[in-house]
Amino acid sequence: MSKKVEVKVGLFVVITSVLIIASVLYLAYSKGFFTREYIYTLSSKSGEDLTEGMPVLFSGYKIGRVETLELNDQGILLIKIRIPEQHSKWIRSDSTFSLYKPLIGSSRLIIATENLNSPALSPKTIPEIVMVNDINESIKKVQPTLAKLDKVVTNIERITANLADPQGNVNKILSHSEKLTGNLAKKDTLIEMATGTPESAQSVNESLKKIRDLLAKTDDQVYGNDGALPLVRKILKDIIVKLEKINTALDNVVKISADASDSTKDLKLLRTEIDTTVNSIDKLVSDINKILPSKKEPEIKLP
Amino acid sequence: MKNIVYLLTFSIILLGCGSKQIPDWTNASFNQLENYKKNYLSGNEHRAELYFNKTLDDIKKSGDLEILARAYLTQYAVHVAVIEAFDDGEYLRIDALQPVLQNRNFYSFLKGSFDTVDKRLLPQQYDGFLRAFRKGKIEDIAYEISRIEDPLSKLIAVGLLVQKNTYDEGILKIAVDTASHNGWKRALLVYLDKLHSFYEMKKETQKAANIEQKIQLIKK
Repeated sequence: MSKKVEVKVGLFVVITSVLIIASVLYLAYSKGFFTREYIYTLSSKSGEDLTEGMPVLFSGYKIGRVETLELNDQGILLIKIRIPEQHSKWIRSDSTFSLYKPLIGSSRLIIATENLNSPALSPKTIPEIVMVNDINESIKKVQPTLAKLDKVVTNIERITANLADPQGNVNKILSHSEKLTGNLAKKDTLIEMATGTPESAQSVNESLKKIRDLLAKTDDQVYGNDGALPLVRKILKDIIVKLEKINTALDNVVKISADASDSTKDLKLLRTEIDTTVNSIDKLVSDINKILPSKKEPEIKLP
Repeated sequence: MKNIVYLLTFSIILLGCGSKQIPDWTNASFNQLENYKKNYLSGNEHRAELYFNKTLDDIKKSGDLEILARAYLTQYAVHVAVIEAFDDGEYLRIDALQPVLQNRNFYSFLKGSFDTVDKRLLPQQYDGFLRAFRKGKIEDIAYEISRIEDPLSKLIAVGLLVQKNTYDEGILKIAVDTASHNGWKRALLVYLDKLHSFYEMKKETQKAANIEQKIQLIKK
């Protein structure tokens, strides 16, 4: 190997090494390796939710981290935080240090400084950490509402007591309305009230129950001779009759309540709705019948 | 490819032949009348009435008086089956306008005028019954009734015999069993009552008392 080549290789190795070292040094510098750091000591009565490496924030920006946690002779927790020199200016003698515990997410140490012109905090001073807890805050906010709720409950209790009292106001009102509404007040359901007959209401409910039961069946139970489809047809036909029964009953109610114009209006509206339902179900039945002709020839013969 | 087209065409034609389009009113009136029968015999009179009115409405859509007359005759037959009288006004009005031999024959049958009934025009199921009745042997009549397949026709036959006062315990029991099997409560109570009267008439007090108790239990 000639001397010229040796020099070249040497130069290459040196330059490369220099570049690598320079890069590493630059990286270390940019990451604050050579920055001077201040260690501040804080105290807390409880170490709950405090961990080593926890971020220290100022105005929501990370300016340092918790270095160590240790107990002193009095059993008070001492928290050492490491703050780089360029951020130490934010920490003043009137700065407050609080541990913020959000409902969701990890805890963090927050520094707030009201007056940046106040003297810098001496590393020898040990300020105490204030606990800020979202849950507690929430409870604080809820407390007035709870108080209101308490009042409401008290009122309800008073009302129910009144209800229980046969001579109470509520009972008096109820007895008056009972007299006014007569039989209607004794009816169990709205349908029953509208139809005036418990039988009609019951039959409608029965039909609805049948439909519910039917829906619970699986598809393979729907088809076939013993399947649910013929049953659907039967039920639908049954519903028509029951709804028609209501229709007739409603007609009577409308006639009876002709004087009370307001209720008549409502009942007429209800009746129109029922009429529409009856018609649509009727159509549905005939459509089903068309699709599924019954085993018997649908021809009226002499019995 | 050609084969598939042929197969599809053939299938469509075959399906077309298989399913005859039934008019809405035919389907609806048939179903309504079936429901009428069932409800009336079960004792749901109000519901039965609604079904019957619907039947008439549907038939009237077609204007077919022959079928309309059949619907009325069916109603009368149901009344006969539960030993009730019927008002034949509507049928007679139709018959005056458009007489149909078969319907008129059945009307005579329901009225109990068996002498004027033409067996050939009567529904087939009553053949044996009418023959046995004309012979007058009560055991044969009972046997022929028990052979009738359609339960309503069975009750119609028994109903006619009760009208004519030509029955025995066996015939009434056929009616009771038929009504019971089909869940026709109204018919069941009618025939149990008839059976009760029959036992009382025959001075069979124990049997009468048993039937009476049964009636009370069912009515509850």
